[in-house]
Amino acid sequence: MLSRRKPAQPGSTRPSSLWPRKSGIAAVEFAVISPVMLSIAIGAMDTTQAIVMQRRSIEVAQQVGEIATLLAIQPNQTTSLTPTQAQQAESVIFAILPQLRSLVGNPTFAVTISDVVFTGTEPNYTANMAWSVPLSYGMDVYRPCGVVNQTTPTATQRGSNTGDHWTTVPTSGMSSSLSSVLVVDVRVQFTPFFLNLITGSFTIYQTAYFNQRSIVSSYITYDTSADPNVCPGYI
Amino acid sequence: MRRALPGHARLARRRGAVTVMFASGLVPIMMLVGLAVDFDWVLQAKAELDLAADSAAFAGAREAGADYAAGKTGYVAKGEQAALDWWNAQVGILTNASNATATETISQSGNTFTVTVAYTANVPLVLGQLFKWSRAAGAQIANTSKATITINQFGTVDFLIDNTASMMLAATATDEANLEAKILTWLAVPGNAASVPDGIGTSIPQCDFACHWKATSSGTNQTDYFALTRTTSGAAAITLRWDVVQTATTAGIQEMVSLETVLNQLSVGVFTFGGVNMASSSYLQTVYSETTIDQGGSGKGAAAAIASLSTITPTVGIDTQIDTNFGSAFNDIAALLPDSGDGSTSASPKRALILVTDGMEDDTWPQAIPTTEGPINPAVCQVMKNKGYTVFVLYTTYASDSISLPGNNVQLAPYINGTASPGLVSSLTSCASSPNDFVQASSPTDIQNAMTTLVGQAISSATRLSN
Repeated sequence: MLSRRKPAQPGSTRPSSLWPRKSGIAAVEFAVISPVMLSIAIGAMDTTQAIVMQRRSIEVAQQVGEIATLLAIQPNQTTSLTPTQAQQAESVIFAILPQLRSLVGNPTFAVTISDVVFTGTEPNYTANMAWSVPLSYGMDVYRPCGVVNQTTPTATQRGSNTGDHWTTVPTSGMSSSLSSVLVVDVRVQFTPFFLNLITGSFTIYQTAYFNQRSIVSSYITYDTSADPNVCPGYI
Repeated sequence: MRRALPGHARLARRRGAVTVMFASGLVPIMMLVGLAVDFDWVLQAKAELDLAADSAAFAGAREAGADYAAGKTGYVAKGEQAALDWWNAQVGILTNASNATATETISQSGNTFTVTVAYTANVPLVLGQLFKWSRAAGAQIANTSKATITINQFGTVDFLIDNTASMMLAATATDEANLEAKILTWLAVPGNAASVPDGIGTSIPQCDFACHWKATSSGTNQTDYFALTRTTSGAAAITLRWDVVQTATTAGIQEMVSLETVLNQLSVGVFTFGGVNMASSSYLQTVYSETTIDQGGSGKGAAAAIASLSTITPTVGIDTQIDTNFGSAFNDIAALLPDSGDGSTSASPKRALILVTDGMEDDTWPQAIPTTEGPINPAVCQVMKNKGYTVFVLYTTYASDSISLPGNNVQLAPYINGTASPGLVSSLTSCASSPNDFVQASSPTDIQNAMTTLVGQAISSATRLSN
């Protein structure tokens, strides 16, 4: 006897074949979407890390300049830095970027203090590098001796003749023979945590210019008798 | 009544549900991510602009201060221009802010300059640009940085130099040995030994440490060890501590000349502890009245002050020996000199007193052993501090190696090892305006270096940039 088959109710028939199809769709969809979501997430994380690193490198440049100019003042108002004082100022980077402190993973970074001295009178003056002292790990960053390029007062170039070294100097207000510029260069190599394979490592760099805190000396001398960091004529 | 869809239709609706949900959620997700990145971006731009503003304020203050000190005109405008240039120089290498503008203003109060750099900038926002939403295209940020510099333009340095007998010790161990040899030679001359006073005896050459004995025209004691130090015959010439102090004072005055940034900015005065005979002299003697170091021409006043040093009479001699009386000397100099000014004009120079001494007093304070000698009472220095002076002290210590020389008798040892002067260092430190204004030195080089350092501090202590 043929039993009368009850008409299949929508949604209740063939459950054993429908569920696998349903979960498969979700998996496929998730498989398609998740890389996009992951990309967004890790991209945001790496980008934020890079921006934070850059912001802190600005802080480093500023604080190193503030401290170096403070340490340079002598009781008689002349200005000079000893190698120890320069290192003290530069080691601020370890306070602001503590992840560099242990040197785990061989981080690559450098903090360089340099002094540029102006001779002559405006506008026909020359800017010379007096000394350049780096605190560096994994990269050798210092400014070369000799004439520092400078162009017009509005120039904003960011290094051309010496890698990414700073070349533009303030070209007005320098008529006083007492003028010089203390330059702080910060270089930190940043390696993205997730996107390293795609982007690779890149260097974050920042430069700060400071005047000295005294009107007596023409520039901050680097107080050492024979140091390769001191340029000829400024020892 | 809502009719249920057939099974295959419902399945069709479910397919792509996650995609649709993701697609619909992608916009807010991207907006949130963009918001986070933009927030960091703005913070970074602000940090960069803060740095530029600080740097600019710094430079503007120094430029205005330097030009003011140099007597140039238009120093305010020059300082503001310098601040603007340094702002441009620093901002020029920044990439995250557009339309960054700064206003630099310099205010002057006396000889103090305050530079204010106020900036505004527009930081482009990724989010706003992405959605072409003009109202969120950029974030406006603003901040202010200040720097102050005080130019201590006019200053006067008064040297109060101890010229009493205890400053007449040999300058170095070599001088000590040479002096001893000279004295022995002198004693070997028949008749000389008999003139040594006070029955101290002749077996040990007395007074090669700090020769108080000097011949007088009226006295019977014709021993003149001080004269021996001045003769060039026989053993090598002797350099006394007194000579070193004169050389150091000369260096100090020359330091003033080198540090002067504008003509007639600095003045100098030289004073000592009284004349040869205290009975007829005050406890203070003016060697060189306060005069600008450019009096009569650039640097000529300083040269005259230096020349005056050689006219100072050391107060040595058994009959005319001068007692060191710090209290009276300070009272006298306080009565003689005007109050300190703020250094803003030539009429109100910032004043400093540099005391050069061994710190030993012959007076009755505090009745130290074994005589009435003892260290300076620091309270006596207050009278000059009350007049606004910064009091600097250069303590010339006795050479410790002198004690090992055979010629020194036991009477001198307490002065060398300090038992005759308990608390001398702390007393002299208290006499100075601050511990930083106190220096002790013994060797000729150290004394000279200390003097030039103190002079630098005396005329420049207020000239610092802070922000």
